[in-house]
Amino acid sequence: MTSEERPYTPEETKLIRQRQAARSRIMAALLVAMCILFFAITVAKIGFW
Amino acid sequence: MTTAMRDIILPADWRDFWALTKPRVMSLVVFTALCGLLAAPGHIHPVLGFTAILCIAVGAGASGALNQWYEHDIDAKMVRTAKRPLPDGRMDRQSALHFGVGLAGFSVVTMGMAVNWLSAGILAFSIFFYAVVYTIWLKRFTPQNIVIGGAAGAFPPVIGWAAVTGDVTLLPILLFAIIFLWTPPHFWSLALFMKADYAAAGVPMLPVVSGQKVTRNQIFAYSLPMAAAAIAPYALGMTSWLYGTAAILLNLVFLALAFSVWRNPATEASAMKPEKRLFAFSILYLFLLFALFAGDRMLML
Repeated sequence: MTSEERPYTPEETKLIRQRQAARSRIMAALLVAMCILFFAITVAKIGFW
Repeated sequence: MTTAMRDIILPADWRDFWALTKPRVMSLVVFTALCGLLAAPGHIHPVLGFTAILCIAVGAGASGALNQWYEHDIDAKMVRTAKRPLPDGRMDRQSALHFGVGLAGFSVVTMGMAVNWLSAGILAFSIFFYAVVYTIWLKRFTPQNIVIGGAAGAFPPVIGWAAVTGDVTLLPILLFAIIFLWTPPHFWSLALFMKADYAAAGVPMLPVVSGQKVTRNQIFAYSLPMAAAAIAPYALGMTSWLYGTAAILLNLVFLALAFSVWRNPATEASAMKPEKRLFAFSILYLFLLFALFAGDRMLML
């Protein structure tokens, strides 16, 4: 909400949704990368490679 | 993770989180850490080597974020830093703090569990040293801030070495000494021609507190032990003539530039060409010296 408690305009809502979507995509990509990294670390520590 | 922008509340952009990690500083950290890792005797699994470098990079990013979280007020007063996410109002301080602490925790724990706890311990100490000892304690209170704070930037090659060997010997300590002694001439040459910026922000950099003459004396004085530390690996028989020759040549150029800074009487930034040349060359110097060192050691091992 704004400082005067007025509702967001459609443009503001669109901008907020764009930011949230971009951050969600980055977070998803980082989580996938982390899963791959931890899998690779585990395999390397076991001595499988 | 929101911030006020005009009268609406916007979530901070991911690019601002990236900017918080000081990517350019991170690139030098990654490079010196990689050189330490490659120069170390022994073997590390490539996946674990990659993980070690990643953790060092993330740890450096954490240090940068915590530094910007604390220094938002100083950054707002300096032209060079006024457009950073916090002073520009694109992010709130709490987000920066959470981001920095999160990255620090992730990097140290992952390093410890995947590589070894000695390198994780040094990484944790280097983050603490930069964020607390340098940023919170020294920077605002002493003109020797960057001398002692420079130690934080000198840890990465030691961490890279420790990641492979699990110990710290004379050679990584020499790598530490090179960066530690390189930091004062590098930053003070910048501080000489950016003096007005630091003075406006109230940061007690040496040119602001003690004057330009003292700073120039100190730049030249620190360049001498730096050159000695840079040549020491060859003099002690730890590298071949290849690194030795290159180190001697690079240090001769560095000393010649430091000498011209020492002899420069200029008080205006526009007449500080020697200082600008030394600052620019100091970056190239460190890249070349460490690249040659790692290459030489890889040929020897």
